[in-house]
Amino acid sequence: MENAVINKESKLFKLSNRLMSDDNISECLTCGACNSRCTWFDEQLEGHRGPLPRQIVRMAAMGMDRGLVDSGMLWDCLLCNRCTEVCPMDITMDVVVRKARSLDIADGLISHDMKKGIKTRLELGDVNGLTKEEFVETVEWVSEEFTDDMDDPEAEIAYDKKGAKFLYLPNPRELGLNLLHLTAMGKLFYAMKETWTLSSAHTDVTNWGYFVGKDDIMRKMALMVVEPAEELGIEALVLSECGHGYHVLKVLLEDIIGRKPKFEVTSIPELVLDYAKKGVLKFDPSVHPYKTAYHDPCNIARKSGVYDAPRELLAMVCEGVVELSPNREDALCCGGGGGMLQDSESTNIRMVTGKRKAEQMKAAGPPNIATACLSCHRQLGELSKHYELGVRVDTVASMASEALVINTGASG
Amino acid sequence: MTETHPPGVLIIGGGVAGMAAARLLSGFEAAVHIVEKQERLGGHAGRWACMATDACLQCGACLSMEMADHAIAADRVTLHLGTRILKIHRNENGFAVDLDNGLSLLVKKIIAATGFSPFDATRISSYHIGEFPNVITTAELNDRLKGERSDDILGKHPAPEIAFIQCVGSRNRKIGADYCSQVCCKISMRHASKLLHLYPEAKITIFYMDLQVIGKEVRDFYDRLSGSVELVQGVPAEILADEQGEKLGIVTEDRGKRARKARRFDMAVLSVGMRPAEAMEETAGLLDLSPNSWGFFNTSGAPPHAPDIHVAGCARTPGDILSSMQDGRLVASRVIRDLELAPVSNDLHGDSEKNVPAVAVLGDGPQASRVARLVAADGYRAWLLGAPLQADPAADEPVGLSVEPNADVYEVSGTAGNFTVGYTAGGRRERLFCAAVIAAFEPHHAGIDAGFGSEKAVSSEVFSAMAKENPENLPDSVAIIFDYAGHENKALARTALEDALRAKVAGKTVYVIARKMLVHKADGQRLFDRVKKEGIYFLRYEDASGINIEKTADGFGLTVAEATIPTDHPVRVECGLLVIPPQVMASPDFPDKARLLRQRLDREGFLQSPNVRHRLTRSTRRGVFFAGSGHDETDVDDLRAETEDILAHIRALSVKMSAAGPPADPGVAINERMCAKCLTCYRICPHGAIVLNDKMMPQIDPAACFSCHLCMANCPAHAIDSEAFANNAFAEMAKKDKTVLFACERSAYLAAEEASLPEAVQMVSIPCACRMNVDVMLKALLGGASRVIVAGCHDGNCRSMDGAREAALGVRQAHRIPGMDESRVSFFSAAANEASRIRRILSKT
Repeated sequence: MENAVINKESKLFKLSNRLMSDDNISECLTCGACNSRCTWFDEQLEGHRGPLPRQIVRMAAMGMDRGLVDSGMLWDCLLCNRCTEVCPMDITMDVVVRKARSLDIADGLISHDMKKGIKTRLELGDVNGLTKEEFVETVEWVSEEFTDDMDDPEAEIAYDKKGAKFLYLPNPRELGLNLLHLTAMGKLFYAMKETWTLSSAHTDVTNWGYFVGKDDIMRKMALMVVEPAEELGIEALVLSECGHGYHVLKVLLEDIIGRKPKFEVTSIPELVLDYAKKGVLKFDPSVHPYKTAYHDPCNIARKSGVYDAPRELLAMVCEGVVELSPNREDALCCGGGGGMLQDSESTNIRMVTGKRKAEQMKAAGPPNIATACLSCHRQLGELSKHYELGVRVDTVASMASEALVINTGASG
Repeated sequence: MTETHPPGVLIIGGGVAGMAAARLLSGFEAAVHIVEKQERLGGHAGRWACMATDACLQCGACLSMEMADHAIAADRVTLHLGTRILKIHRNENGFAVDLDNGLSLLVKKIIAATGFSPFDATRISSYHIGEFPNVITTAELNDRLKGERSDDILGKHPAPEIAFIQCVGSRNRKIGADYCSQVCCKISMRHASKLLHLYPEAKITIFYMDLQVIGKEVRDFYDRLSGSVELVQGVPAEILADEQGEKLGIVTEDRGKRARKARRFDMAVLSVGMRPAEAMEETAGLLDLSPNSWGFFNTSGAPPHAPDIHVAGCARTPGDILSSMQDGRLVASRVIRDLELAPVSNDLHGDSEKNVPAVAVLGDGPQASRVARLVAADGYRAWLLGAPLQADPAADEPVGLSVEPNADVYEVSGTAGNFTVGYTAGGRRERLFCAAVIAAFEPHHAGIDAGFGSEKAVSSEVFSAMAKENPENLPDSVAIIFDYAGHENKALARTALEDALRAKVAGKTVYVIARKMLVHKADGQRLFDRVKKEGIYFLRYEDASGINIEKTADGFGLTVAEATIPTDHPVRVECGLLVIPPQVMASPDFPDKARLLRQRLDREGFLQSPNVRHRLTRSTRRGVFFAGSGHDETDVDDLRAETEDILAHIRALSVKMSAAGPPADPGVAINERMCAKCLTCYRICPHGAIVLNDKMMPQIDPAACFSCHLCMANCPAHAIDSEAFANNAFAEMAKKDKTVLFACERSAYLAAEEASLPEAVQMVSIPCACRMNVDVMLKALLGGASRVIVAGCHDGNCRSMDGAREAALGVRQAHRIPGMDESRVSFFSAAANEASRIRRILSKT
């Protein structure tokens, strides 16, 4: 047992005690509210005891870098900010944990997949390592299929199209495992009757610099999105359904790049809702003749403050929205946040961190749940399977696409 | 607009602060109007349940019933219940006030005693209040206790597990309430005591942030609960439905395992804080007052922009029942002074301005000086006996202050308006005649010997001097340990924290090591926040054994088992100066002081019992008062407030002293022919009302007597006569075949009036249960009563101290009489606010 000394010279101490916007962690009241809110609840598993949020804050505040890094809590944390929501001093836990993760001495904790993804994303613009040639090949093939599907030669999935109104930033899965999702999103844009494009310079919405807490990486990745988008002269960047991508590119972007981007940032569910409210998009809710529970992704709900838009859209495309309990600000994390889902070796942990979520899904009743984040979507699906819940998991935008009332054909 | 006579005073709000103000004002020539939007007086305190277990827990809620009774009966107090104020118009003579009952009032002064509202716990969604039926607030628990409905939730569990969650809606900057509500810790400790009393098998956990153990009664709760209730630092912010649905789930830290654990409870009580009254904005608009950032009107005097408007009680700042009552009196006292109100029936002394009453201040330290100055500054002749006058450059040398620094007081006899204080000074034997006596003795400050005998480990007083004079000369690092050898004293803790800031500003590294941080007073939380923000390190420890102190070359090395970081990381603190505030303890001479004043000590040996009938500043003797840390945990501001409160009481006394004719007949008198001069009465009178006359015969001083009849019940020679309560009268009082309930007029009687009594019960009001000795119980039975029930105050709540015990003793004696059917004579205790309980007890008759 070694004594810890409050270390003002430690890197983390300097990173964390900067009295910025009343967010100084040394102000922690040690009230312990955070401990009661961890998504791990009372779960733990071999080698992973889960975080004690108060200990994270306190060790960071005292400059106990090594102790914190060795505690195992940093990457057990899901960055869900359920604890932050109840902090009387507004100490923002994802900021604290990300700063601690950014320490050089914590580099060894970053998962193999996370390291690899960051490397390929920085080198190729795609986290899965899709090269530009592969991207072009894929998109052109999907576009042809799309034109056929729509029975409209004008219908296309374009890339690098200058002057398009919207730039859609897909999830990496949409260019790999789940091409149908990209087509489904294409349908929505098509029905909006607006010009839209993809970009070959940056093919996906993710920013794993956020997970490892390294500001320089986060900035590089963000600029990889912003600069080419500005060159295309788009009006708005439309983010695919992605939690951390939304939080980074919508909420944190200005801080990260130090300026306003020359375009608006929105997400596909929000955009679709706008066009539905304008009367441009019409849905047939009977396509989904059931009620659907909505899962709040931490990054979109608690961390970015978007609660209602996805619910409103969901209500238009099925029989109605059911609330999980607890929900909104108190919603349970899917159990896959904080970089877990980006680590292929985390599955056994995720089934533990998601246990409460699974119980909640079971208790909610209806066998349908939708969310607005493809990461949550994947985790919820895996939970459903693992816990044999029989719950069908969807995303809000894909349900919207399915329920879209569209007149195919050139004349419309 | 014409002058009105007598001048009008409007009190907005009929809670305890408003009623206390009205009560004081009612003795003066003023037309007092209480406007209360509810249909009844009492405010929150009036709806509060009695917390008594085997004994009174000193909350003071029952006092509101008596105060309401008084306000209803008072001649010069007009009640406007169920009434709202429509408009207040200020004019050159004061205010014109339009009420929604069609009346218009002209008043000179307005006292805003508009109270508070409990925090709306539905604002914190994660507690699921309203959704989970077994999650309730302290307010609802109170209602259930008052209505005896706690069984709804707890009745089905043989050993209910109950969680109290503190600081719900308090100490929370995020929701704009970065202040401690001052009362919730004690409320929960009382509630826990009450629930343990009702459900002895209950397992209670109090989750707290920093348990505010402040004040004589609270230290007592804490010490007693420490063994029977689980006290856990850390307040859960979420309650979960248990998978089984019945229980509640709460996740807490499992420190040993460095993980979290789930706890299960049958009921969770959210200890909701005090927020500004819901009608705060309306009040602010009517009165043109600006609330502070929290929504309280934090001004006790008349604010400069709103002269003649005074704010009292929780409308000003959160506080408990006793402090709100005190605040109401203080404000009323200022109104009396400002308006120069004359006492009612001031025939005797009305003309003699020269006849300024003298007040003796007994003390042995600086507090007595402060009290004496304040007394003199208020226009009284103050005599400071036993302490040198401490220089105070900030205060003018008051006129009318006399000092006998070496006075050794050996006698305090007499009563309000007529005390004789005997003392020796420099070999002289002197006597001082005075109207009132204030005891302001110093407690003992016991330095903590941590066993290293070095000048570097200092008490907070020494540190304070260093930090104030030459903070630069302090060593580079300073560590302060709070709560180390016992309960931290709030005044010393506050000073040490302020001194810590001084040291920090002077560039020193400062560590504050605390078990439970005291954040009392409105600004307590903000000071704590500032301390941390300035970069003072705050460490939390669990108990003293977790701090290891060793001497180093430059000072001290502390190894602290820090409670909020993993157990395998004890924090090492090196400091050049170690500060440990001393323990504030009863002075070894307090028993002598208590005998001198004929008062009891509390459990810890401090002057003044915790009895709410006398607290905060009074005693069992009219005109004998207590001030300062010798009687309770007070700081400089409290001392000022206490002195002002005492002066308010003296103002009220002077009404009685100057009333025309002889003092009111107490209804009891000693029959000299029958008196055996055994002096039992002299010895036992709690009020010091038995005096020895020239013939050395005991005699009752009507001015001092509270008519409790204790002397009469205990006189072995039956030499004390009573007009209303003679022994034989009890036989006549009793109606045939009735259950006769003899009820103390201040407690059980008031409660029984609210409860509709069964036909078979005949109630008789008695001045104090102590009148009921075995003789009179038997008389009542002989008079035809089928049963005799005596009902008195809860133990510790009797104005005459032991009335209820005396009655209970009488009942036990009756039970020992051969052939006595025990069911025919019984005793129970009840408070004035226990109508439901009385109804239940009597329904079984």
